[in-house]
Amino acid sequence: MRMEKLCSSMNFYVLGLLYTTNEKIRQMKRPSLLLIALLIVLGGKAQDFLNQATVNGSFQIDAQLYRSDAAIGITDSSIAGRKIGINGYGNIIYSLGNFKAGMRYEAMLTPMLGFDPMQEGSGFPYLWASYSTDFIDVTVGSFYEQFGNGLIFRSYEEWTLGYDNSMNGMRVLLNPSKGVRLKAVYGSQRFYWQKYERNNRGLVRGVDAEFSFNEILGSLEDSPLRIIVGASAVSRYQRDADPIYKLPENVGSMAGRINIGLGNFTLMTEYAHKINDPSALNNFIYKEGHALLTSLSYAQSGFGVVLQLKRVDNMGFKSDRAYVGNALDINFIPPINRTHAYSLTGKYPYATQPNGEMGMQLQIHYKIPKGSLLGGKYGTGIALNFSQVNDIARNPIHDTILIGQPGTMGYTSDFFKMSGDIFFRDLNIEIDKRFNSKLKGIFQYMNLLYDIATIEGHAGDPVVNAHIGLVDLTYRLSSRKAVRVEAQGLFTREDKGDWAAMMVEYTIAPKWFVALSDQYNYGHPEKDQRNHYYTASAGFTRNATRLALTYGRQAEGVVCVGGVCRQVPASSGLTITLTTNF
Amino acid sequence: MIFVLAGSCLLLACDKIEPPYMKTPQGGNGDTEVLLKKILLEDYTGHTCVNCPAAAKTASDLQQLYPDQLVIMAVHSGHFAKPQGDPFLADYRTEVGEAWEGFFGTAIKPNGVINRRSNNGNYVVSPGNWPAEVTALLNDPAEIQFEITPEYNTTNRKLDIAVKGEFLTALTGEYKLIVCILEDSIVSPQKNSDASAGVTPIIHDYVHRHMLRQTVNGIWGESIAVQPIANSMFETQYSLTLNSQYKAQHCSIMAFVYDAANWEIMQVEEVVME
Amino acid sequence: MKQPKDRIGCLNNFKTLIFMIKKSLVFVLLLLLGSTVWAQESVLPKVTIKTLDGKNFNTSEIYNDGKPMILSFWALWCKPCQKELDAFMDNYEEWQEETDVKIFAVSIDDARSTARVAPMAKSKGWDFEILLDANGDFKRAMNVNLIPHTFLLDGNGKIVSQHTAYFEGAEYELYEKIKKLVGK
Repeated sequence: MRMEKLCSSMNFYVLGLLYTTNEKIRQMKRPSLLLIALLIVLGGKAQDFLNQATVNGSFQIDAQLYRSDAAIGITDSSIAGRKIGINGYGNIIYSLGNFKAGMRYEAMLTPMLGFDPMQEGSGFPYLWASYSTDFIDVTVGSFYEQFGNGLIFRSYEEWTLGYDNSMNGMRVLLNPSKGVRLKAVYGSQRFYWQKYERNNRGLVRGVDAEFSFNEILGSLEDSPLRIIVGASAVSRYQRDADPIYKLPENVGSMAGRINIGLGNFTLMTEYAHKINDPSALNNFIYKEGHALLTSLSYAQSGFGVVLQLKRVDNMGFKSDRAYVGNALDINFIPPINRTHAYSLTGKYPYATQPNGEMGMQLQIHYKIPKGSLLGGKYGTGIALNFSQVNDIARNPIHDTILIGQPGTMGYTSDFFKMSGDIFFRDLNIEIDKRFNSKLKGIFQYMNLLYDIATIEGHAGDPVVNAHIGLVDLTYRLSSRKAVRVEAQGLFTREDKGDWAAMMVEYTIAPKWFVALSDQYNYGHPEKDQRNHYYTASAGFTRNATRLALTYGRQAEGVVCVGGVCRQVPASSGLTITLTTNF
Repeated sequence: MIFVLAGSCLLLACDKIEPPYMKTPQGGNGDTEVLLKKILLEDYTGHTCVNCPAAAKTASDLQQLYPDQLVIMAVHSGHFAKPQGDPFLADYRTEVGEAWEGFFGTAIKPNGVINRRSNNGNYVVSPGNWPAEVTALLNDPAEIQFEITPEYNTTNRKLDIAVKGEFLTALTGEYKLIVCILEDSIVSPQKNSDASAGVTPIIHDYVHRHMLRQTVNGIWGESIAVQPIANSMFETQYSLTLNSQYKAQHCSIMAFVYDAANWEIMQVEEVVME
Repeated sequence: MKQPKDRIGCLNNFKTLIFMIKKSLVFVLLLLLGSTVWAQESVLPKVTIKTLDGKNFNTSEIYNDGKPMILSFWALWCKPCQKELDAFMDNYEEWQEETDVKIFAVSIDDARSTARVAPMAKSKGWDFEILLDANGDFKRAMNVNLIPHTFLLDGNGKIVSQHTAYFEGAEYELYEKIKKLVGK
C-alpha cells in the first residue's frame, strides 16, 4: 500500500517535472503529454491490470568533464569554455497483448565534444504506438526500418555517433500469405530537434515487397536451393523554391534484390537506381544514380570465404537536398571493408563516398584443426582480409563543361570502369591462438593505404601508407581473474607519424575491471607534439547495469560506425558512462 | 519485378527534368513603388574550409541576380579560419565574428545566416538553401530606411561615419544598429575541393570578398530606438582611425538595424568608403 | 540593454548539470521503483529478424522445448562478444549434456557485414543458432544498449537474468544459474 502511495506521489512529481522541463522541448504536444501521463498513472495505480502488461526500458548517460591541457594544445577557448558534456537518454516500452507503445527521452546538455552542436537540447524526440498481429503490424509515430540492404531506404540510430534519422509518420507491415512480406512507410525524418514544418525538409514514402520462394512454393520447401527475391521503391517530395535551378520535387528511387543459397554457397545481390536528384551533395548535377552490391560466400565448419563487390555512383539521397552534414540520409550505402576493433588499427577508418566509389573485399577465415601440427592442442584461427576501394572513372559530357559542373548532367561513367585513385586499401591477417589453458593471444598485421584528403576532408594532405602490428594476450590468473595486455604499433611517414600503444587490463569476473593505457605519438614530425595520450579506467558491471569511468587524455580521432563517421577532437578529462535496463 | 518497379515509380511519382536545367532568371524587384527590405547574407567561412569557395560562389551568383537587394558579409571565424602551416598564415578572425559564431551556432563550415531569422531557435542556413531562402524574403516591404555617409581622409586615415534614418511605420520593441567595416578583394590562399569554384586543392590567389574586418560599435551594436512612432528619425556618428592593414580603396561600410528581442535584421545598407 | 544568453557560461553549465542530475535521479528512482513494483515477467517481444539463410524469423519462435535458453547479442567488430561466444563454445557440449541449454546468438551487424557473419561464425565452429538483426529492431525491443549483452531465459521464454560486458570466467557464473533453472 505504501509502495502504491509512494508510486503515485512519484507520478505527480514526475508529471510536474515533465511540465517544467527545459525550454527546448519542441516535440511536446498536449495530446502526447496526456498519453505519457496516462501511461505513468496507469502503470502506478492499476496493479492487477498491470499483471497482464509489461513495462521495459533502458537508459544511458555518457558524460565528460573537460579540462584544459596545454601539452596537447587544449586551451579554454578550444573547448569553447564548456566544462561538461552530457549525452543521456531514457527509453520506456509498454506492452499489453498486441498493443505496444513507447517513448524515449533524450537530453544533450551540452552535447559532448565531437557531436554536432545542433544536438543540444532535450525532450521526447521518439514517441510511438503499434498494434501487431501475425497478419498486420501498424506503427504510428516514430519508427526505424530498412528495405533490403538499405541501399535506398534505411532509418536507424547509432547513439555513439549521435546519428538518428528516425521516421515520424506511419508504417504498415503485412504478411498476406506464407513467405510474402510487404512493407509501406510514410513520414518525415528526424532532424535533431527541429520539428517538421511545412517545407523545411522533404517527405519520404516507400514500399517494399519480399518473396521467399521456399515458403511460397511447397515444392521448394525442403530443397537445398533457397531463393528470396525482393523489390522496393522510395520517393522523396520536397518543394522547389530555388530561383536558379529547375529542381525535381519528387525524386524516386527503386531497388531489386536476389538472395540465392545452395548448400554452403550464398549469393546476395542488390541493385538500386535513383532518378535525377540535384543536391548540395552532388553539386546540383542532373545525373541519375545507381548502386550495386554483390556478395558471394561459402561457409562450412572451420572454413569460410566471402567476396564482396560494390559500385556506387551518385547515390547520396537525403531528406533535404540542401543539407550536407551527417543527418537526414534516406538511404545507407554500406562500406565493404573490415571494421577494426583496436585503437591503432581503427585509427584510419573508411567512410563511404556516396558520390562515387567502386570496391571489393575478400575475406577468408580458416581454423586449423585441433591436434594438427600447425594448429596445436586447441586449434588456431586465421583470418585474412583484403579490401580496396577506388574512385569511379568519370568522363566529361562535353568539352566545354567541367566534370561535376552544377546545372548540367555532370559526367558520364562506364559501369565497369574505375579510376586509378585509390581511396582505401587494407590488407590484414589475424591469428587467433590459445597456447594453454591459461594463455591465449590474438596477433594482427595490417597494411593500410588511406586517402585522408578525400575521406576526412583534409584537402592537399598526402595519402597515408601505414604498417600496423598488434599483439593482444590474455592470461587467466584464476577461474575468475584475468590480465590482458595489448601492444600495438603504427608505422607511417605521413600525417602524424608513428604511434605506439599499450594497454593493461585486469578483470575480476563478473563485475570489475581496471585498465591503464597509453598511446604515444613518438613519430610526430614536430618534436613538441610528441604526446602521450594516457588513460586510467575502471568499471563495475552488475547484471545489465554498467558504470565505467575513464580519466586521461583522448587523442583526436574519427569514430565510424558503418561508414558514417564523426570527427572527435582531442580532449582531456573524465568520462563517465552509466547504462542499465529493466 | 520490373513491372513492380515501374508501377511503383508511377505510383510514387518521379519528376524527370529535361534540359534546360536552369530557370530563366527573375531579377529582383528593382522598379516597384514600395521600398523593399534589403537582405543580409552572412557567409561564415575560413581559409582552410574546402567547401567554402563553392558556397561563396553561390552567394555571388545570387548577388548578381539581386544586386539591389542582397548584401553579403563573409565572416572568417572558428577552426577553419585559424592560421595553420604555410601558406595559410593569415588570420582574418575577429572578436566580433567569433562571438557571433558562438551565438548563432555556425561552427560547421560553410554555413550562412540570412537576416538573422530564427527557425525554431535555429539561425543556420546551409548554402544549398541560400537561393530559396533569399528569394522568399525579396518581397518584404521595408519598415526602416537609412543612409550611411562616410568621410575618409586619406592622409591621416581618419574615418567619420554618419548614419541617418527613419522608421517608416510605428514599431514595438527596441532596435539596435551595428556598423561594420568590410574589405573586398583580399588575395590570399584558400583550400578548395570543388573544381567548378577554382583549382583544387589550394587556390593560391583566391580573392576573398566582402570580408568582415571589424565593427565600429561593439559586438551587439547600440540601441537607436525604443517603441519608435511612425516617421521618427534616428542619427548617429562614429569617428575612428582606419586600421593600417586595411586597403582603403577596397573598404566599404555596412550597417544593419535589428530587432533586439529576436535579432532579426530589419534593414541593411552598404556603401563604398571612397 | 539585452545581452545574448551566455550559453557558454560556467555557471549555466553547472546549473544544467544539477538540473540533469536531478532529472536522472528521478529517472533512476522511477526505474528502480519500476523494477520492484511493476511485475517483471518479461517475455520476449515479437520482432521479425532474419536467419543466416535470409529467411524471416519471428522472435516468438525462440524456444527450446521448455528447456533453458541463452540469448546473446554480438557483432563482428565486438571483440569481447566473440570471446564470450568462444567461451560458450568451449563449454557447449558439456553444458548441453547436463542441462539441454540452447544458445541463440543475434548479430547486430548492419548491412555492411551481413554477408560476412556466416563465414566467420561457421569457421569458428560455433554451433549456436545465429540470427541477423541488421537494423537493430530486436536489440531496441530488448533494450540492449552496449554489447555484449546476454540474457538467460527459462523454458517459457521469460528473462531470468541478464548481463552486459564479458570478463574471463564469467561463463562459470552463468552456468551456475543455468543449473539452478533445471534444478541441479
